[in-house]
Amino acid sequence: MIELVEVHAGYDGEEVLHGISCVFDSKHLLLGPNGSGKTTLIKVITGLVPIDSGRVVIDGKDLRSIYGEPGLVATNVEDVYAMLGVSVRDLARLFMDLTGGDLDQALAMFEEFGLKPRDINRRKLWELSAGQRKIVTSVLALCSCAKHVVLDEPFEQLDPARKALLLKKITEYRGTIIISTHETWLIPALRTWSAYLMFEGRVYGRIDVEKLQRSKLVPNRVEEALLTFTISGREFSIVETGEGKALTDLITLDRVYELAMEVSS
Amino acid sequence: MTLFLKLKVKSLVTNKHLLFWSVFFVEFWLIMWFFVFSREGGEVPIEYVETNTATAFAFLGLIAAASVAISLTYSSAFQIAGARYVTKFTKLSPRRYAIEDFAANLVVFLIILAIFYISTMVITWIKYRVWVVPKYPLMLFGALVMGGILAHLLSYDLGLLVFAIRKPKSLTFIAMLPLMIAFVAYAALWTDFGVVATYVNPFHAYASIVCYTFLGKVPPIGRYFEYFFGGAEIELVDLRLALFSLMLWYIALLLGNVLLLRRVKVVSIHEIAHM
Repeated sequence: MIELVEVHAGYDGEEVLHGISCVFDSKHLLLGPNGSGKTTLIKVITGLVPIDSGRVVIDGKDLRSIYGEPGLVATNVEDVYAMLGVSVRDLARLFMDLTGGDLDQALAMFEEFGLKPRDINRRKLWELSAGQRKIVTSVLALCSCAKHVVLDEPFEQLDPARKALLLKKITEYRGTIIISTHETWLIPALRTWSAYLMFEGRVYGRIDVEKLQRSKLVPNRVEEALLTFTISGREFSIVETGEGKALTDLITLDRVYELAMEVSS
Repeated sequence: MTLFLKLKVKSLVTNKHLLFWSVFFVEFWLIMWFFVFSREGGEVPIEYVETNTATAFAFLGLIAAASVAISLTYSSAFQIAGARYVTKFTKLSPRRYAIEDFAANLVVFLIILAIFYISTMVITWIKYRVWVVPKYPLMLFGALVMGGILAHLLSYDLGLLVFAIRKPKSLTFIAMLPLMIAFVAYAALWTDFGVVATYVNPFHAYASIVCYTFLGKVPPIGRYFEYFFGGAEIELVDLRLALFSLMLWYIALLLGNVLLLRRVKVVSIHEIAHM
């Protein structure tokens, strides 16, 4: 279980996460538009961004005291894999060795995703296309056999066939998974999961994805709302019944601001 | 040798920038040194050959060392972000990471200097038909290790500095600092910067120690050519002070490392990857 308690974090004295509290203990979507702080939240969980205050607890241990624990958390954040200028194969060898992951499975998955052996053997991570890099880092995270896998925008830059394949691999994974995304096509695809919404550095939820799929976005605070959140200083509610717009009508949550304006007018 | 150490060495010794600047660039100047700027072969005193070779190895080796430090600075800058994750969620505990990373950097440093040593010997033989042997080989090896430690610590501080000042794009400039400082020390072949400069510049202190261990004679604080080949009277380096200076630099760089690590908030690798 990953628990965040009143977490404040940011860069250059500018706070990005404003007192986030949430619990990740099964399969979760972290839904939010670009710039909402999803990547920062994932970097906080993976220890890449230190927190200013609050606590991150992973399986009962404070993140600040966790060192040298392979198999606890895996991620696809590229910063992690940019450490050495070696070929993708060597990178896979290294990370599977360091995390106790399955190298054969990783190499087989690269092939399944259509990465050419020549690219794997010769090219470095940053010499691949953005989509290929996403595949490599997500595969390495999934093959590390970690208890908790944290994937930042894993479907970004992927073609539809690869999106479908990656989705299959993710749903087959046994363990806690957190996927951050701004793509709403995942809502009907992952109905059994639960979700947190993220806007302007604040997390709202949690809510079952199935309920989220059926619900509507309406302006103002509503008594019977499943969730109430704030965008640009205005309150909005997610309700199961009523006249509003469905989040699934959007292709990307980046359009949520347009939708909010539309709904409130 | 663990896989991280092995792959880090591999990534550095196959790094085209490192190979170009620390091997090919320096080899070019080594050839120039012997075939353009040195006395013609034939009736050349052995003392001249030994001194010339020792000076070339100490000072061009200094440029090679600084070039390695540039690549190590880039490498450390690219590793800083990932290191936070790796030391928490993989087998590489912070201690193991620090040791293996240092060992890899040192191995690469010594490989580059070994290549330069061999080529200096070979070129000396081609030019003068003499195999020059270092006077104190073990001490020379120790001096090279000291250079490797300096390059490692300096590169880490510089890599961290880039993030501490929150200007990732300054990496291209900051990474060149070792070479700039090394060139100031290199200028001591012709110029006398005075006693203080000799010990304040860690690369100058390092070159003096390398020159001594190779040649077996205490070098001057500056104007090497005038001193060795022109008979000029110049103050000699106090080697104990040079050693002490290096030790102080190690301590200062280590402290810098700790202070910078506390200040650093990692910037995404994307911000430095596409400079």
